[in-house]
Amino acid sequence: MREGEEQQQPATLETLNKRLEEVRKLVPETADQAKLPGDAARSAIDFASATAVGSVLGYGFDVWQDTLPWGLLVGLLVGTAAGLKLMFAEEARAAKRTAEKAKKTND
Amino acid sequence: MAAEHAEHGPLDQFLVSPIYELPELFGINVSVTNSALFMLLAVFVTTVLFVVAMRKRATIPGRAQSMAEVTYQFVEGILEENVGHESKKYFPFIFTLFLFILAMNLLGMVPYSFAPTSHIIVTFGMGAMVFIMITVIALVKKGPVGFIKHFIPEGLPFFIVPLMLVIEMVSYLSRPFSLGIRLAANIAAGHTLMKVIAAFVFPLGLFGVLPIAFLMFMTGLEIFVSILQAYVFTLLSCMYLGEALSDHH
Repeated sequence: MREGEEQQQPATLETLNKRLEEVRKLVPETADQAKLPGDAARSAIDFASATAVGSVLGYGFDVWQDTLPWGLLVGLLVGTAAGLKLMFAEEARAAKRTAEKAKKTND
Repeated sequence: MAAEHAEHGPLDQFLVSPIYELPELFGINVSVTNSALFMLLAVFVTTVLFVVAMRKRATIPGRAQSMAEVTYQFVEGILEENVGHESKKYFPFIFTLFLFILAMNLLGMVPYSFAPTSHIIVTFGMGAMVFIMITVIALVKKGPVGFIKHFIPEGLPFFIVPLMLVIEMVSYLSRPFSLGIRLAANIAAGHTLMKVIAAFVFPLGLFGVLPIAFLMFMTGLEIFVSILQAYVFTLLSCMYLGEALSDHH
């Protein structure tokens, strides 16, 4: 059975290529340009975890140096800033990706 | 909480219970739990699937081999796009990570099974592993000074540098948490919602058909989420890895 398969291969490869080409025509090229549904939720979780990490670090400093509540407050602010920065960075990355894709399809 | 209610609660599917008791090792309970069992099962299933699929090594792949090759190329594509020419070195790790998460997510969709990825400790463990690995790679590649410099955007006025450094450090440290929380939250939320909706089926009598129809839709959606979250975890790991290996910010 193996030998028979090998003999058939050239002919089958051609037909496979033809079939693949036909199928590829059916797939719209802009399909991967669409945003994934998880993108917004991703930013939300980034923001929440950055805020939490900042606060916990601040609180840890408070416990260590006995400065409650100042470390927690500063940590919360820094964490929020970090979270906002992450959201902006993600948005900038998404915009860049879309621009690159648009450029590619235009070329 | 009464014991009889606890049996049917929507969150009881996430209970970790020992299946095979083992003696304590250095004061740590190392019994085989249902979580560990499904992780082992995930490893076993992926290994068998790939070994069987690639056994023939045909020029024109059959169904199983196509599936294996498409998966391989899919992960290779993500890695190549984000890491670049050095990506081949890290491919085994990233591919294993993707398959492990995917298999755990999909196995969790089988009725009466257990999804280890619904536990933050599992997903955070993987996130922390990726985070530590990438930090070590960045430290080795750039040196401690280059690593710190990486956090400061170019052309920044010097008086903002300390503040920016702290903010960037916090956002860097939040990575393993967001990686872990995202995966666990998505899987746990989906499974809980399905269980809650399933609880409506019998009390509604004939109209129970409606929640069943919705459950069918939800099952499809959850399988999609399982694949998507494995993809997202891999994509983010690759993005962080690419950042660690790149020369500029």
